[in-house]
Amino acid sequence: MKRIRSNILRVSLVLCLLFALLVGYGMYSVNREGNRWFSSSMNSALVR
Amino acid sequence: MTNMGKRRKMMPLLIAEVAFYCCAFLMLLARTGNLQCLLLAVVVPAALCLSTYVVSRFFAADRLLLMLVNFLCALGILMLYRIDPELGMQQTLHYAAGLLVMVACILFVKHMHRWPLLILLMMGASLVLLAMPVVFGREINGAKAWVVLGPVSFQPSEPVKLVLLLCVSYALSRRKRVIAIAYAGVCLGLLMLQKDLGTALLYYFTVLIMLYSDTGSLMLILLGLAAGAVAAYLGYSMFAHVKMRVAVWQDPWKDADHYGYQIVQGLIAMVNGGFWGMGLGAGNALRIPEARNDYIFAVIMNEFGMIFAVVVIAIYLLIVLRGVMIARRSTSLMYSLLAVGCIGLLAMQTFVIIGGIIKLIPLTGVTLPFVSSGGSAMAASMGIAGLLQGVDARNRDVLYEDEHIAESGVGA
Repeated sequence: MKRIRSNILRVSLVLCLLFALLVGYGMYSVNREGNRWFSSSMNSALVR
Repeated sequence: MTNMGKRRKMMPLLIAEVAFYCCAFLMLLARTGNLQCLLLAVVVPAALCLSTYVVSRFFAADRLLLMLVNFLCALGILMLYRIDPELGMQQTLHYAAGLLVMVACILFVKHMHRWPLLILLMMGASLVLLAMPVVFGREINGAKAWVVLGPVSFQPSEPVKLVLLLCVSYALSRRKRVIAIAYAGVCLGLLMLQKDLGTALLYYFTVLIMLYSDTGSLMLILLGLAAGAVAAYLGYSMFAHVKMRVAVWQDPWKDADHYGYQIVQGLIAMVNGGFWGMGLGAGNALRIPEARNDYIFAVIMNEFGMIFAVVVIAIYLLIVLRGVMIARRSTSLMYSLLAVGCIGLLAMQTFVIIGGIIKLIPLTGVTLPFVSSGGSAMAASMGIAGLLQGVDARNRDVLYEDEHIAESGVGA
């Protein structure tokens, strides 16, 4: 059981990293794609 | 700490939850003038309090886990009501049914002792269930994953998630790894035949996580990942809708009015939300075609902003960490693996859908656990939370028995 407990801990670390990736990439993606959205022709068409 | 002490410690969290939803529904009332909001401003917080008290008091559920799950379910009701009031009312019923499923799963795990015959029966029934959509399923968004029986339609792969967790954890705990892998392989094959690659991905990662927790073998995981890569390539080359989703993921702006419409609208909604959001009921995310299902996270981000979206992700992470504690506390291999499977499935489902929405990975049609609309999805998510709670209840029973034995030993 001791070995299984340490395996579970490793799994939980990987899952935490995945969640951190979601937050980090989410902020990056929304800003990057946001810039693309604000400079896209779709947006200018809507503004007009 | 005594039960009363624990209850008092959780009280501020429960009050915060109740105040949040009361204010949110009153805000919707002010915006829409719909009197149903007033009813929900009373019913939803009351349901949160009642379920937290009743389920934890009478079915020995973990209060923190219950409160976190309840928060997400109520968020689903709020957002769906905002999208379409009828959907919100339906989701309230799904939540009530989900609570019953959760209680049933707690009692099942806590009191079930005769596993071998039951596991065999469940394995057979689950394979029949998964084969049903292949024979007479209905195709929605490229996947033939739905079965329609008269007025009722459901997705068999959702209840089978619970069976998969129970069967694989039982087989692994009895050192029958080949049976566990073969059963999971047949399930994956049936899901591939349904073209439901999103759910297949979840099953695959869940089994891989359980296998790693049991064996700790990196070689096995590398082999599993290699097999998964081959299956993903086959899926890509065989199914047109998968090819299209990958192309749209690479550059949704290329065809923003047609195939890339959903991803682009989701990104626009999230950008418009910014850090603080546009305000409940004041957002513009309703142009997203699947706002009620896959894309509900984009609606949350649009109206509540990035800060609140991070809080929602943190709540999922807290559920996972609570599950890790439960898995590590268990003294039985089967229940420990069952708990790991539950958190693995919930975590991967959250990662796959939010990752798809923010364009980290190609979008696959899975729901956001506890939040997205749908009865089968809600029942499955609540069932998984119930299995986790059941393992916790068993842990407490074992602890109580040990303490009892120790006390009688000291007395003697």
